[in-house]
Amino acid sequence: MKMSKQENEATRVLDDDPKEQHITSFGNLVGIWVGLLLLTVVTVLISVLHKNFIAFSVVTALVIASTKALAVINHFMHLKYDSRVLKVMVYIVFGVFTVLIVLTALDYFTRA
Amino acid sequence: MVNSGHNRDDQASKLGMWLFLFTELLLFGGLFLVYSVYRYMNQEAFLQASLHLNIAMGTVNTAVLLTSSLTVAMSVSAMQKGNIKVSINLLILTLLFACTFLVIKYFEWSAKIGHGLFPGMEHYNMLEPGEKLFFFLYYFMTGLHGLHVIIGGIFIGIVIRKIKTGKVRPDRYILLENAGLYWHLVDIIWIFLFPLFYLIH
Amino acid sequence: MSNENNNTISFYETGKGIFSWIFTLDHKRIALLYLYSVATFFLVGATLGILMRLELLSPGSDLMHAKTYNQIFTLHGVIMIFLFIIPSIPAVFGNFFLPIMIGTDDVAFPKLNLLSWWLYIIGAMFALSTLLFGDGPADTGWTFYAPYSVKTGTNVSMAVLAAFILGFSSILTGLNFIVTIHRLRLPGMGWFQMPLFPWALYATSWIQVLATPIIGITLLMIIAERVIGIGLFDPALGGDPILYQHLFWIYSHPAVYIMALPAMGIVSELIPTFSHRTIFGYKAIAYSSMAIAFIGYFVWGHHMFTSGMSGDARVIFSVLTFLVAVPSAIKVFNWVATLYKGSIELKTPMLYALAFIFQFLIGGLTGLVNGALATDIHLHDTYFVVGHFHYVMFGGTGFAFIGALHYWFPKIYGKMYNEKIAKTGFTFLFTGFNILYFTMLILGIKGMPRRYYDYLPEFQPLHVIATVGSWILFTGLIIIIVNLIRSKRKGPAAPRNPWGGVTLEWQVPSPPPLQNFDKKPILSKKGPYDFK
Repeated sequence: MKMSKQENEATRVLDDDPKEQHITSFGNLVGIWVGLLLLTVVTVLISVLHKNFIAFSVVTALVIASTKALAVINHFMHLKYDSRVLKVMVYIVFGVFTVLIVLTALDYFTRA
Repeated sequence: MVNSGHNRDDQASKLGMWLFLFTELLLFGGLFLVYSVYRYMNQEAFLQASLHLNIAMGTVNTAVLLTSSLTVAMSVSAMQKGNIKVSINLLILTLLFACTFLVIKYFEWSAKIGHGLFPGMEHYNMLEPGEKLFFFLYYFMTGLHGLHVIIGGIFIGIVIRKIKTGKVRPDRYILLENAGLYWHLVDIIWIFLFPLFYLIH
Repeated sequence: MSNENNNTISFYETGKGIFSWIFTLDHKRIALLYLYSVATFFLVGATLGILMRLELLSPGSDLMHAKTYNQIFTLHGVIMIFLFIIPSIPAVFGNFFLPIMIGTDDVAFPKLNLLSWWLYIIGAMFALSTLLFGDGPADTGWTFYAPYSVKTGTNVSMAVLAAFILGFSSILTGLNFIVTIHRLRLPGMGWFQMPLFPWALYATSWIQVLATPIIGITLLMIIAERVIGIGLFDPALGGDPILYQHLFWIYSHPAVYIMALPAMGIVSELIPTFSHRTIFGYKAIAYSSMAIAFIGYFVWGHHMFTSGMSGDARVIFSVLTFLVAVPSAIKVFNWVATLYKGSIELKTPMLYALAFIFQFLIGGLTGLVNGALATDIHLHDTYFVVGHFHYVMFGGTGFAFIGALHYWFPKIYGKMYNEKIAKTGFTFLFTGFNILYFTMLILGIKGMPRRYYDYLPEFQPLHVIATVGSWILFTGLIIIIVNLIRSKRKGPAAPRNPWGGVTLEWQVPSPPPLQNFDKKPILSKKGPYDFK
């Protein structure tokens, strides 16, 4: 198989590809990071201090974790600036996974 | 064909990496599913078992991984702006954080194993059934995660080399982006592992 | 070997010797590597089936004892499912024809493609190695249910490791096809100018990518249990064996759509070509493939109706199961509507397509009988289920595979097969198949349990009929295979387009050159099935 040595070939671009590369600034990235650390502190505090005020449940923990994950996905992984095709795929995959958990849980929650 | 220099397609490479990430997500997903069922069935036992874990170390490790995600994301931005040296240094920093994570993990595990809290050892054998499940899942999931930290680290190491030899550069950096994507997934898995194991009430 | 209108050499000539094959990056060669591998393992699996039917000729032990019988049906299932059906159509015909049908010269990641085949071979070797040591191959059934799969002394860990490796092979194929279809279509070929076989492969690939990892991790858990001795599915530790079944079927149900969708894609190519008429309801068929893939994720509980799952969950899964039948039925309606007023040519590939419709219909309807809670209680774990899944997997996918083999034979090898002998082979195969498996439906309703080597004397007549059916079927297989091998060697040269097909593979030489196209492909403005 002949391999072309032209490593300066431009990359293929299709119609729905993002038009120009979006560069996330260091400032933005650090800002997101600060937010992630804050959320981490919040989730630890809620758990450690629950005896005193807020009732901590799995739901709260998962909501905070999901928020952190979304921030990583959209900004660190750049999905916010990627093609619509990719975004749809990611959401559908997470959706399918969630339904799998829900349907399985359905069995266990409704057992006598 | 696609990425051998003739008909290069960076978006295809990125799509391929995302698809691979989906498989990793579902791989861990199966374990999260087992975890959620068994936590539901053994709520008291899981709570008791989780008290053996060190929240401080878990929190530090979470911060370490989050920071490593920051550095690798910054490395991509630096490369996009043409700052190759900065990009490399940020990647090296990422690797340092990865090692830190693994070292802390090592101390956590050896502390527990030192107390006989590993499947098959005496203290473990004295636990309640649900507690045994908790620990099995703890070692399996954090172990599998640790393996992925190592793989991700190797991937980043390879990218560092390729930047130094000019194979990865500002007009051709999809490999760096993809290594970053893999690393972020490793981070995201830990984002969920941490509260589920360390922060049960 | 060149062909008319062709001044480029065929892909067979671009390299000689075994290393040019097993280290190839050419999707067409990888497809043939897969073809010869899956065909070999199919014959191994079929032989195991023949042995099972011989044992079942009379009650009691004839040729073997219970444990051997259990090992044989386990190996039969593992080989047929993981080494034949799941890879078959995508890895053979998808690899060969997907790039050509969308107008490009290879898949997106040729090296991953080769790796996929290597993993397949390694997995196959691991699976077969279970015959060679210890207590022999697994005797758990291909479903490896806990707790028996954890406790039995047979080579479960090795078998399960083999399945794990084979899973990666499958994932890589799916990943490759998704990227190929998204990125490498000919400029001007939008999603709805793409033929239906690529659509089917696209839907299938998503299932391969998303469902396979779950069985991967589940199998790792079984190995962990066997090796470390801690029960993840052991009630004594707070575990639940039904959870294993959930995890297993979360993959294995979508897996049957990995088997069915590509086969439906083949039928969607054969019917219009041999009716010389554009397909009825192109978009409906395309969307229904995606719908089957999507809904198919959420029906797995119908394998577990008698397991101890909650009543509410059973109802929900039963409803969802009925839902997934709808898009399948839509396809059948569209195929039949395509036949209407078509100029039908009953060539061998068309016979297989028509047989598919007939057999898939029976398989689908018996699937609904299984999907209804009230009837499933009686039919679960009986021969009715065995008949049902052989109708869809063999009568469906198996027949579609053989039909595709005949359809694309002239394109792949540049030779024509012998039509008369092929039709004879089909007749034997079709007759034997239906005698064998329809009888099983009756046996099941009468109460014959599955996976039993012994049975009450009242079941014997039907078992004898079924076994005779298996011999007729096997005769058909031999005729078909011998015909194809002889035709490959000595058959007459095939033209570029022997069937009058309108998809892009019929515009390239028979066999194609390395780069697939010797001339720029011409797309019809009226869509992918424009029969003038």
